[in-house]
Amino acid sequence: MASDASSVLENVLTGMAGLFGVDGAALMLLDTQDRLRAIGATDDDGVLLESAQEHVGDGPAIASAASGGFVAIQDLHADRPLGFPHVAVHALPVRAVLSVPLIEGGELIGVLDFYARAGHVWDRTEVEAGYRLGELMVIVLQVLAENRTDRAPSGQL
Amino acid sequence: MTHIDPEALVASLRRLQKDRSATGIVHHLERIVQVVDRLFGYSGAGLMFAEEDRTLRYLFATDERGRSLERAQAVTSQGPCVAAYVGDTAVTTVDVRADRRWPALRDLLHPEVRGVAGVPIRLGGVPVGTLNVYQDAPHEWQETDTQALHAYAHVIEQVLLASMEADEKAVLADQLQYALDYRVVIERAIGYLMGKHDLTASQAFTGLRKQARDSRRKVSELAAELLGEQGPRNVANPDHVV
Repeated sequence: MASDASSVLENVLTGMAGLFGVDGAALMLLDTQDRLRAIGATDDDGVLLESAQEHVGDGPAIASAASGGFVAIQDLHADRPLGFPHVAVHALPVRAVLSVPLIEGGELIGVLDFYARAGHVWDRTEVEAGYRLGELMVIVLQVLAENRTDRAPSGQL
Repeated sequence: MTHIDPEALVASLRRLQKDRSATGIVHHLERIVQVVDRLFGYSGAGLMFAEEDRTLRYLFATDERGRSLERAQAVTSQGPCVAAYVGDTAVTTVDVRADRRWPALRDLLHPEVRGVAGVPIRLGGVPVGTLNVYQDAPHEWQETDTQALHAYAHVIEQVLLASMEADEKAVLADQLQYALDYRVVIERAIGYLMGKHDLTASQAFTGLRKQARDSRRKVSELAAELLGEQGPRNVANPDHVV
């Protein structure tokens, strides 16, 4: 019944995309050198979106990490500042993107992207839901991180 | 199909580990439940977990009203969450106070607990507990509501699985058991403080938690000390069900 970190994350990302009602979700996390790295996505389009941002060094997730706030893009193909056409060219099927920063203990640890293959205006309720799912992702990541070393039973209450 | 880069994930998890002390699975479950009602806009949420003998006990609720819901079900062995656990399916009620399926609940519930939904939390396909949400007014639950709750419960299952790597199973069981046992102590300490200082349950718990944080101790330890007890084995456990 035990499950490795990758499969847990796969299931959580898929579950979050389903909860949100979007086409997919993708995760980028800071590595030990404070670089935002592509970790995974629910499908090939999400992987393209992440790798494009990693390659170009720009995009909604990078902008979200830089500002510490959400970035809502109706159409990635639109001209700047509304879109990121130089990213979109590497992730053609992706149109709308909502990036929310993942914050733990006041520090940025990564960015969670939600995306759709059709243009979409993200409303305030969706942005709020994105943040809540971001909180949930931070908890999942903490559990995965702790599971690497946390071997001692302890009380938590 | 999902795509994860295990190498990048490990590198990032290593970074997350730095300078952070482990807080344990129960703390994480509490945070997850606190997120659920903010995400969906419910009045409150809670978790119940089963012990080895399939007695369902409450682990956590977001507020006093939710605690009354879980406590009432534990005492009477009936209610939507108990039914969700036993039947391994989502169970909803428009107004739990008027629901004829569970007549004994009415007098034990906070008056603002009305619409209730419970979904099972499973491990290995077997129910081990329930995720419960409530609304403070009668509420017609839609299929989309229960679908979303099932999806959220699935995330909780993934968190539990992540805590069950190999030899971690016993640790997880210990942690959950510890929380279930000490919950009773904390409840009694809250009752004690309410009576002694004329506080609401929320004020009493907030004060207890603040004092625990200020003195870098666990709430459960402080609660036991307040009651002049050493631990859960000295405490009567009335909230067994199923």
